[in-house]
Amino acid sequence: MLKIRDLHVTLNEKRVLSGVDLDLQEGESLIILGCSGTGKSVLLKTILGLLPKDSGTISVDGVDLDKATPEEETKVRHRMGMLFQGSALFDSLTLWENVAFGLIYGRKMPPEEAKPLALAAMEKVELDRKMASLMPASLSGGMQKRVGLARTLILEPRMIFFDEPTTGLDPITSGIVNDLIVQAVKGLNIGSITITHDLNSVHKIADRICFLFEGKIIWTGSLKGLDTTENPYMRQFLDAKPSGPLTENRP
Amino acid sequence: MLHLKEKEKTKKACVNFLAYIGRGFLSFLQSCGKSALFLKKTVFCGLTRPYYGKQIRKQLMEIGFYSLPVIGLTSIFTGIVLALQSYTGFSRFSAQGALPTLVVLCVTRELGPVIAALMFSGRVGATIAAEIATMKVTEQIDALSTLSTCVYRYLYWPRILAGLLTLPLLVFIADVLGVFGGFLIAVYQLGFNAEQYLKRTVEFLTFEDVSFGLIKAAFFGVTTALMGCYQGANAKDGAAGVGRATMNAVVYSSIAVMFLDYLLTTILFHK
Ligand SMILES: Nc1ncnc2c1ncn2[C@@H]1O[C@H](COP(=O)(O)OP(=O)(O)O)[C@@H](O)[C@H]1O
Ligand SMILES: [Mg+2]
Repeated sequence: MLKIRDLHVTLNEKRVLSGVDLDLQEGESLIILGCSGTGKSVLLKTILGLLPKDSGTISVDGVDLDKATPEEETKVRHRMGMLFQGSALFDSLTLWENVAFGLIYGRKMPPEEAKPLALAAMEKVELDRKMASLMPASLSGGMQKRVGLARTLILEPRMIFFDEPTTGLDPITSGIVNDLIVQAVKGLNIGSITITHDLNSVHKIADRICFLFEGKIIWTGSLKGLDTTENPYMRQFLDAKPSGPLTENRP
Repeated sequence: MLHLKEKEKTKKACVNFLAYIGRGFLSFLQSCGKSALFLKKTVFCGLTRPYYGKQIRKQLMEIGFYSLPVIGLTSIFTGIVLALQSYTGFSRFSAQGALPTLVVLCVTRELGPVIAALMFSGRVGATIAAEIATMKVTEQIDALSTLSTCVYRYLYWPRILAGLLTLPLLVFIADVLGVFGGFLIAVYQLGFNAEQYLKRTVEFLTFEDVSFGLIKAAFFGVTTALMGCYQGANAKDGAAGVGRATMNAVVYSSIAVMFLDYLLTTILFHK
């Protein structure tokens, strides 16, 4: 469904991505692993059109987004969701207004109609209706993640990107968030790309795994492949060794 | 020999200093150009559907109404000090009679718009920049786009429109209060006759004196809100970046106000 070929991205005169190829099938859950600062978040933001690319193609259902009309492109982009690393909730709005935001402002639905839908979406991620009029700042990290997830799911996306959904959460909360992701993605047959450093998450949600290093995907495989791989880069990452090929040329 | 070396050193320091100023000026010009493009895009988005009326009303209140106390106070004191100082000057050649005319012309043509705009850039420019920069560094701006909402329409246009509409109104109030401040001090301290003073105030005042001041204010209002939005939208690197964006917004909009003031005064008043 999503097809990326030879993607190059330069930010502030620094080459961040240099030739990324990536495919995502309908309903597939793809994991991207990689060290901090290799451009995993940049990759997702480029797909979403939040950052400019130098060259390469991003196509959805065979339509190259560069060649699509603005209307077509908007239509495709409106069916991509993203859960940001820090949740990125709007801190001047209440929880239900956050969840209903895309409906009210993006789809121009009257707030009275959007509110019941928002409450239902909150219940799907196991948030109590009573919390609807709280402000995001009064919530724990795990709760904020759930609100962020509800806010994305309410727009019925075809694919969702998760940027480190469990980083900074305790193991139990991480487990809950992982379950919610599996439930949302598998249950609704949504394609997803998840960035994570959490190998528990990987085992729970992955269909396929990619490893990003120095602007390229250097390894792709299944869960089984991940456990048995002899690739020296992958072994260093999985065994968390401080020295090895990943860290060789670092200053 | 030593003397020559010393001279070289001084020369180099001077050149470095000038280069520093030049670089600053160039980056100022660059950000002016980029923010002009930013303004164009904002206006284009703002004038097309959907319109976010609630957002616009909220900004009219936040930016306009709540700026009233600070701008009102500063303009009263400006009028008071202006009357006191020019009384001293005029009494040296027995021209006290010109005081009311001077106060009203200074306030409406120059001091009202400029001082209000500088207070506006401190209050409104800083608020806008800090708010938007925080949204930027916490990825809330990215999130807006992924929720099918145009950032220009939802965030920037309401603020810039509010700047355009409210600063002229605020300046009109500031004009009245400034003249009132001068009147108070003239009548109660400098011994002017109240009726005479008011008569003198309106005697030589033309429509253009006030309206051109308000036109200036409209430009200042847009510039200040624009600088806040533009600097906020380009913030990066966490808390330090928010601080930098806020400072730049206030500094650049203050400089821009002074420069525009010169430009508009030349165009409007000295045709
Ligand atoms: N908006 C941006 N502008 C300029 N440089 C950026 C931007 N976002 C990220 N970068 C740079 O791109 C590199 C990759 O960042 P990122 O994708 O966040 O890494 P990670 O893989 O940890 O998510 C970093 O060096 C970062 O400094
Ligand atoms: Mg990241």
